[in-house]
Amino acid sequence: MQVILGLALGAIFILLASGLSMIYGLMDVVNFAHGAFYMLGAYAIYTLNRFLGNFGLGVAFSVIIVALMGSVVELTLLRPLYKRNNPLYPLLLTFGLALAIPDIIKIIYGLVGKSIQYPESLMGSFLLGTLVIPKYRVFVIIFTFTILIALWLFLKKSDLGMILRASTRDKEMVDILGVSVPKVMTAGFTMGIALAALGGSIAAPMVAVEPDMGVNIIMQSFVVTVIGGLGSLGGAIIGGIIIGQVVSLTSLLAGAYADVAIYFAMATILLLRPRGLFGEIGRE
Amino acid sequence: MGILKNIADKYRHIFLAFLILLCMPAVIPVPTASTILIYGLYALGYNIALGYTGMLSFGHAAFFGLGAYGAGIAFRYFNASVWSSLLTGAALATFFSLIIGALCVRKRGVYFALLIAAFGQMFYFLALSPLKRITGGEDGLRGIPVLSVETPFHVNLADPISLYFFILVIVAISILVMHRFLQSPFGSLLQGIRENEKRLRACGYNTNFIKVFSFSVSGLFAGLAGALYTIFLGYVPLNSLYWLTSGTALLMTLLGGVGTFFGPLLGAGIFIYFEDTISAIVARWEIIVGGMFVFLILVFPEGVLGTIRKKMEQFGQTESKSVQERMLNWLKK
Amino acid sequence: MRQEVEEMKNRRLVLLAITFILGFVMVWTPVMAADTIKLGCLSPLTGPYAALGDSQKKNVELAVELYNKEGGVLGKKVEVLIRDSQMNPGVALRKAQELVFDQKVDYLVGTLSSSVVKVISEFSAKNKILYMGFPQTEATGKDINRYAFTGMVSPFMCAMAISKYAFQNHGKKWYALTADYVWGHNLLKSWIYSSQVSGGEFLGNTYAPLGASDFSAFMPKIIAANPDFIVFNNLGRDQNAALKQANEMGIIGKKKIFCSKTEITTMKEIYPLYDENVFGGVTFYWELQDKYPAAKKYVKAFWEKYNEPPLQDGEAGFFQVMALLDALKRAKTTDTEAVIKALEDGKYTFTKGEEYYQKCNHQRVTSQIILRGKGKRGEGWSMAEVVAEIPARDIMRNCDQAIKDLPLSTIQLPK
Repeated sequence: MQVILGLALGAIFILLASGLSMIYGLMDVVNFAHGAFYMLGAYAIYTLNRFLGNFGLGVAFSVIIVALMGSVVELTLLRPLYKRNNPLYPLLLTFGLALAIPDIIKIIYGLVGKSIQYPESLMGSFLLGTLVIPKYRVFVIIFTFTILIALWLFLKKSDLGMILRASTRDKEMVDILGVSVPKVMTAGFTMGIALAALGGSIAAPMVAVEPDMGVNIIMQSFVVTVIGGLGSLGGAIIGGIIIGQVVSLTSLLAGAYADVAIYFAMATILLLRPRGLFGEIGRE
Repeated sequence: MGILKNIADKYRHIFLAFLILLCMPAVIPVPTASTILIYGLYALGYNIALGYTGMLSFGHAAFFGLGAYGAGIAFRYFNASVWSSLLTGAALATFFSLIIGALCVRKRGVYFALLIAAFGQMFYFLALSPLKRITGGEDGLRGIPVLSVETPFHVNLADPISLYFFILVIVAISILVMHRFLQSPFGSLLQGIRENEKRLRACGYNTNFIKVFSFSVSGLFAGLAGALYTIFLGYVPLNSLYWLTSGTALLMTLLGGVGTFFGPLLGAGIFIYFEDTISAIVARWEIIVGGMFVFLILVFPEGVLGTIRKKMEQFGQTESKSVQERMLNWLKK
Repeated sequence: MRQEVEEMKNRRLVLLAITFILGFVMVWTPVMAADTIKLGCLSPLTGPYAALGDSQKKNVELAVELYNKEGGVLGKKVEVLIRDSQMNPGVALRKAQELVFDQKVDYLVGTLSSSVVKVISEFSAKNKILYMGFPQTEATGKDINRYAFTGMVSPFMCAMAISKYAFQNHGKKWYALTADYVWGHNLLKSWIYSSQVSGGEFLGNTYAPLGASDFSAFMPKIIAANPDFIVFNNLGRDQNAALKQANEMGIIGKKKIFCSKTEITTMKEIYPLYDENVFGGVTFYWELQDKYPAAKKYVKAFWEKYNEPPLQDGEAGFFQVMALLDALKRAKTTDTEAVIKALEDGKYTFTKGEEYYQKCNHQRVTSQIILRGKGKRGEGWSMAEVVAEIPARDIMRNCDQAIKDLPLSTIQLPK
């Protein structure tokens, strides 16, 4: 039962971590604003839920809208920084965004957090003997799983996916082969943001929707990404599962040491195997 | 050629800086001025690692916090004097920055930064819960008595102005020490590492050792700043270990100019001043800070001082490379 | 080349502009206004509890306005300088220093969160500045200082009130979910004591880290223990999330839930989950206006100015400032010692019945209100109904106990 709850938590981590991984792998950018987009996803579903009344549609539109915002950010703010050839700049820019975006939301939506109901069909729980399993969590797990498979298929089988993977390895080569690298980067960034927004939208009914919700999750997502390996999708998945379980289990047992343990793990991995469990050598 | 001129220039700059710092409390609220000094020292220390050696760290709050708690614990539990507590704090920070630096120095760029961040987070959470009895947890460390300096003469630190000048003396000495350190041949080695570490290694230098040393010096000053902060507040906030405090050092350094000596101090001044004044006027000052960050990166990556220097160089039509170009080789290894 | 020159000119202009703005602000900031009574107010204007900080700000400004309308105090207008504490003790302390040493405020008021209160209390004692605190605090032993006054019930009072009500009406066996920090621990200890006194049966407790967003891990244990009711010792978004997830697991409805301290904002945020099965304790609820004329006056004035009702954290602010200004009037001087005496001697009817401060620890002697959610029936700001008002004398500790932290210091916290 704990395992399932931990898996649901892990699912959200996975979505965020894959996005982070993708963006880093593709653009060498550590996106500090990832948590902010996660938060935007949650606020988007909150707003849309009132208008549309249909949760599924709401999620879809939330993802699209926030992803578009991501594209705009990439085009207007990040792109001018590439020619400086120093990953420090985009990183710092995302840091600034991580500060500014929650405040904009505070202005628009006010300071008090919001709340969303579970969609009708997913309310309540399953009863397995004495175990009570909330339906929504199961949904989260299955849904994320589906998305991941879709993502994997996309990356492996489609043309665009192939280009994305190739760009992760060697941008110059892709450029020489005639593909527009800037466009690829925009596409990749947008996809990463879309994943974050998706994470935010489906997490929204489970947690408190409020402007600072991205702040905590960004740090934990980093841990996941690092452990799994920056740039690796598979790693993000495994990392997400592990950390989801760790958080879920240790919060029951020894809350105080849980956080220390997580960062200790992160440090250890970075020291001994910096590419993470599945990352590629050469990224150091 | 430019080196002699540079040195003369630098000393002029130092005197100018000291003059400004002496007059600061007259123009700005005194507690704000003290805060600027403290964070300025913190950022200056940070810049030794970042601007001069090219090591980006996301966890410097660890050293700031260690200095703060070191001093705080000395005051609270051992009734230590001001000087011993300062020493304790700085020593604690230096010790850990040495160890952590030695552990992590082999990693580059983002990995290094994240490693330091992980350690920083560990310290934070350790102080929050397991070590709560000593550190006070999220309440911070209270119970520090009203402080005063006895040797070489009595200074009542409860008086804001005396406190300011006490801090100023420590910071001024630190600045002089830092300056000599960075102007020395060793300092040039640091910049060499930043420019092209491989070449330096090929010349036979043990770059790892140099980097660890530089990182420890950086940690030392960060810790000293932390200890001063404890003296200033009469209290140690848990926040001193929080990752946002690391980000603050970065922001200030960037704001003032990463490749310059006084940049971080200026950056600290601007940032703290704005934070204190703006938050009194505008409720949503975080947008302004975030926006400032974004604006800086896009338009003025060299920071205030860096941009000024660039202008002067362009004017003087000297052939020196712009700060921007000099940072090219950073993380590309 | 020309482009570079252009860029250079532009950048110089920007730099110049920045310098001008800096200079302008620098000159403009030192506030003049010599002959006023200055109150320095620290509230979290940013951060996760900004809504409560905003409520505090509104209330302080209302109180000051009410006095200024009558000509101020001691012939002078009252002025409030508000600073953002960011709910962060270090920052709050810095701002307090600025307010006291630079702006030369006469008195300090405010803050949210027990951590900040303790630090500012210590500061006020060190510097002999009168400080009217707003939040709940449990000052014991050497933490008690005569320069600080507390404006809300203590955690002990808070827990005693709601636990008495719970044990009287809803059963004996209880299980708790407690936020893992000092405030939560104090509530839990108080509940355990109350349980011993009322014949309750403590089945167990689970700690949740402060700021946890996932409480679903704790629910199975709670259900398995099979209590008569569940106690939540948390607040704000922790409480929101916990209630939401309790609902998710079908707990609300099967068991009653008692939130030691609760907020109307929580009820609004998770509407309509906060229903008749959920109870919460507050120091003030605006619908008390039906019972108390003072409340009616207060709520009316607040609603006219801000178009919404006052919240309990804000009400504490209102009360504290009104008391301070009233004491000033009676002391006929701004001298701190005299004002402290006047505060200790005074009787105040600002928002409920007649209230005063306990002399030994300057704790406001006030009642605690028990609310029951309205669930779907709630609309607008009418989210709950008052089921009980527990008077102060039933829940307060006497001076001797308060100073020694009895009986709580004898209670062991569960692991």
